[in-house]
Amino acid sequence: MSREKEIWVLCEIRGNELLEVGLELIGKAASMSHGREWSVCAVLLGHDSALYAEKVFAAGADVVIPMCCEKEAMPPEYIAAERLYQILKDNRPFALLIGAGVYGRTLAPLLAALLKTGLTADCTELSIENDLLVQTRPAFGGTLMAEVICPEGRPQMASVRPGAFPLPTLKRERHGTVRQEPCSSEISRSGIQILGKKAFSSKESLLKADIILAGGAGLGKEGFKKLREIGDKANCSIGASRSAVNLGLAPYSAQIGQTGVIVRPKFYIAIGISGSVQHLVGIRNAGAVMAVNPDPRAPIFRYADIGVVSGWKEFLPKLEDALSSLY
Amino acid sequence: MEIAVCVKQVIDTKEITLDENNNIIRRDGMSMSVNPADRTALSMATRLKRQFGGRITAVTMGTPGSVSVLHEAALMGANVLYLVTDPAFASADTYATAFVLSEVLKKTGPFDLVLCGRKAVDGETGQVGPSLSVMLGVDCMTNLIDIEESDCPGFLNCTRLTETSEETYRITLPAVLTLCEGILLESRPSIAALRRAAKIPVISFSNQELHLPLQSVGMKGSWTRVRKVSVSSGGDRECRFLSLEEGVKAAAEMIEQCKESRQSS
Amino acid sequence: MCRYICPVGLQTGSELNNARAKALLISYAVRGQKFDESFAEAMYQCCLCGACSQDCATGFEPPVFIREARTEAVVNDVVPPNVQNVITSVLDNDNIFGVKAEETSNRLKSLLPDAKEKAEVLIYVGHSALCRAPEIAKAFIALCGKAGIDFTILHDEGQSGAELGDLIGYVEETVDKAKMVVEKINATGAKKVVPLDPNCTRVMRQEYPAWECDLKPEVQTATAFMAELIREGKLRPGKIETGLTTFHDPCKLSRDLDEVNEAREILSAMGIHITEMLLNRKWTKCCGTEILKAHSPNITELTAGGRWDDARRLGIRTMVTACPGCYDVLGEHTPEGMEVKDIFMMLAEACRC
Repeated sequence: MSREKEIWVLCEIRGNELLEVGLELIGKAASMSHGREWSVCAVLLGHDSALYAEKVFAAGADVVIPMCCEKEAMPPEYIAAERLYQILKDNRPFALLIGAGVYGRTLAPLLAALLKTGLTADCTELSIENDLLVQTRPAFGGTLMAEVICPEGRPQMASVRPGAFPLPTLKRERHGTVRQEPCSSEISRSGIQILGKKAFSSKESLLKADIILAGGAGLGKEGFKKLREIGDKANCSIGASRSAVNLGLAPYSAQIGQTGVIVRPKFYIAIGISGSVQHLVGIRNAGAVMAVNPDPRAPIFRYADIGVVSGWKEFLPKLEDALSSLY
Repeated sequence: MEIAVCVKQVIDTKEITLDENNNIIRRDGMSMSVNPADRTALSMATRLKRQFGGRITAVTMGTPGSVSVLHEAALMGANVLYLVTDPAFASADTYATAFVLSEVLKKTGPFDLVLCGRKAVDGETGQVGPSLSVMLGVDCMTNLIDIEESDCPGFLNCTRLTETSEETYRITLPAVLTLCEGILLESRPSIAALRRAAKIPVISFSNQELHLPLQSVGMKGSWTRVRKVSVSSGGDRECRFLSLEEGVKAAAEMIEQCKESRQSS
Repeated sequence: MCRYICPVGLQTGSELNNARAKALLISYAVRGQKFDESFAEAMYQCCLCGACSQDCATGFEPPVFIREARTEAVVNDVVPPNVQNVITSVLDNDNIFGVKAEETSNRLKSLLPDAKEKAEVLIYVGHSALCRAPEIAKAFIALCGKAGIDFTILHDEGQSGAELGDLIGYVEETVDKAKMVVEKINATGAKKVVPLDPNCTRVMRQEYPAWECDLKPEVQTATAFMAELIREGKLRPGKIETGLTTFHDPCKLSRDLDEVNEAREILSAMGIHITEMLLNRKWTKCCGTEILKAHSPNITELTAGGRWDDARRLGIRTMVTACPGCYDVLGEHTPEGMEVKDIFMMLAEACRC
C-alpha cells in the first residue's frame, strides 16, 4: 500500500505521559488532510504505547503504529532513526512531523539524512499548497520568517515547536486501526551507553514552569540570592538572562532566550533584564510578562504587558513582603 | 587525538546590556563573528587536546570572507585551518552543507572526534551535526554541556542537557558531538598565542580539489528551498506602567492566581 | 564629530590624530595593508579618553578598536621604541614610570606602616599617586583617619591592569595581573575598595567582570567615597578661600564611570564656587594621561596646554583635579599665575588633617 497519501506524526511517550506536542501535530495533520482523503498515521515511541492509541485516535489519527516492543522505554534518537528508516525507506509518506524538543530536533536530522530528504526545523506554521507542504519557520532570532518547501524529497519532514498548534478537541467516538510494523530490536551501533540521569525538580525545569522569575546581570550575587529566596517561598522557577549566566550568577540550564530555553509560562517577571532580541525570543510565548527595570527606556518594556520602573533592590523585598502576607 | 571542529561565521548581534552602575551601552557596529556555540566547541577541543594531546582542525564552509572565523579559531587553539569555499557550494541547505563538510572531513581525516556547536544563531536548525554523523557513519550526541575523559580508552563521557534532566553517557569514538553555548569560560589569548595564531596558514578547498558532483552541492544539492522571507511582527506588547506599589501588588496577585490554577488542574 | 573634540587632534592639528583616521588605518590593515610602525605610532598617540565615542553618531567605540590595534602592534613587533620602553617598565615593575617594584612597596609601607591585614575599606593607591603625587595619597589616608574609617592599604599592590591593558590590550598578560590584584584585595575581607585613580576604578568595575575576575568588594570612586563621608557628617570641612576656580573632570570618571556631581559636592562643601570650563562634565577635555606623557611627553605638553587655555580664557586662577594622573600631567605645564590643586589635598586642608 503506497504511503504517498499519508502524513506521519511522531508521538513521544515520556514518564507515562503522551507529550502534548504529538497531539497538537495530529490535530494539525488531520486538519490539513481535510477534504483530501489522506490519512494521519501516528507513530508512538515509548513503552505500553497501545495504552495511548485511544487518545491518539480521538485527536484525529487514522492509524496508530507502535514503534516499540512491549516494555521498552523510548529508544535513543539514533535507534529510533534507524528503525524508522528501515520502515520508511522503500515506501515513503507525504510528510513526517516531529515535535521540536531536544529529542525530536536530534532524531529528525538523523532520519532525514538516512532517508535523504529535506527537513525544516522549528516550524511555527504548516500548510498545503499545490500538493506541497509549506513550512514556515522563524530565523535570526525570530526577526525574520521564512517559508520553506521540499519539492522532491519524501517524506517532507518538519519539526514543530510545542504550542505552535492548538491541542485538538478529543472526539472519543473516533476509531482507527493499529498497524504493526516490523520492529527490529537489533541495534547496529551500540556505541552509546547511558551512565546516569539527574532529573530536574519540577521547579528547575523551566519548560514546564508556569511562573518564572528571571534576573539580569545587574542583580549581582545579592539580587539572585534574594530572587531564589522568593522563588523557594512562592514555589516559582528562576530564570536568568545570558549576561547573568555569563557572570556565573545562574547555571546555564536557567538561561532564557535564543541560546537558552524558550519558555511558555503563564506569568513571567523580568527583573533587571534590559531586553535584547535574543531574550525576547525566549519569552514571546509567555502569557503575561512583567518587566522591572530602573531604566524607563530599556527595550524590555516593549515586550511586556506591565512595566515597573524600579531597581531590584526596591522591588524584590516588597514583593517578598507581599507574598509573605498572602501565606 | 585528531579533533575536527566545524565553525560557522554569523552576524554578531551581541546582547545589548545596560549596566545599572555605569549606564554604558556598548554599541558595536554590525560585524561577523564565530557562532557562539562553535566557540564552545573550540574551547572544548582545546581542553581535550590538553588532556589527550593531538591536533585541532577548524573547518568552515562559506564565502572567502569567512576566513576571519578561522583566525578566531586559531586564536582559540586550532592548529590546522580549512576554508571550504566555492560558488557552487553557495545557497546550500543543512543537508548540502553537511554533505560538503563530510566530504572534506573524509578527505582530510580520519578524525577521532568532530565537534560542532549545537545550533547557529542565524538558522538555528541544529541539523548539520546529526546529518554529519550519518554521512560519516559515526555516533552522534547533541546538546552537550560537558565532555570528559572516560576510564575506558577510546571512549568519552559526556553530559547532555534536556528540557527535564541532565544525562551522562559514555560514547565510543569516533563520534560527532554538538555543544551548547556559553558553558566554558574563555580566557583571553596571550601575546604568544596571538603570535602563534598569526602564523597558521589557511588552506582553501574549492570543488577543484574536492571533485564533488555538482548536483550534490549548493542549491542543487539541497532538498529544501526557501521560497519567501518576510519580516516578522515582533512580539511587541502594549506595556502599562505601574508604580512600585501597584506593580508589586499586581505581581503578587498574578503569582497567587497561577498557583490556584495549578491546584485546580 | 570626533575630530572636533579629540584633545590630541585639536592640539597637533594632524589628520592622524583623530578617531576617524585611525579607523581608516585599521580598515586598510584588515584589507591586507601591512600593519607597520607608522600605523602603530598613530594608534599610540591617543589618550583613550573616549570623547570620540561620546559623540559618535555611528555608535563605534574607537577606544575599543584602538586597544585591539595596539595588541596587533605588539604581536607584529612594530611598537615604537618609546612606547616599548613603557611597556617593559609595566611588565617588569607594575608601573609606567620606571620605578622599581621594591621602591613602590617601600612607599606604600611608609604611607601606612601599620596597615591592617583585614579591614572594611581597602584604599587602592595606584601608581600614578604613588610615583608622581604621593601627597594625594597622604591626604586621602589622613581624611580616612579623621573620619574614623576602618580602612587599610596593600603593601604590595601589583597593578590594576588599567595601564597594561591600554598599552598591549586586554590579553592574558593583562588579565593575569588583574587576577593577582583581586586575590590580594579579596584577602583583606574588605566590603569596599576605593581606588584613588579613576583609571583603576573603571577597570575594576567595568572590565574585571568581563575578565572573570571575581572581585568581592564593591568598587567605589574616591570622590563618591568622600562625598558620602561629608554627607554622613563624618567629615566636616571648613571653608577654603580660592581665586577664580574651575574643576577639570577626569575623563574616565565623568564619561566611563558616569559621575560628575560628587566632586562638585565636595567643593561646594568647602565653600568653593566653580566657574565651569567650556568642555566640562561628560564633555571634559582630557589632559593627555600619564601613559601618553610617559612615552610622548611632547604631545601631553600640547594637550595639557590646551586644557590650561580653556581655563585661562575664563580668567581662572585655580584648576582643581580629582585624579592623580591629571594632577601630574597638568601640574607639569602650569602656566604663570595659575595653579593646579588636588581635591583631596584641599579637603584634607579644609578638615584640618
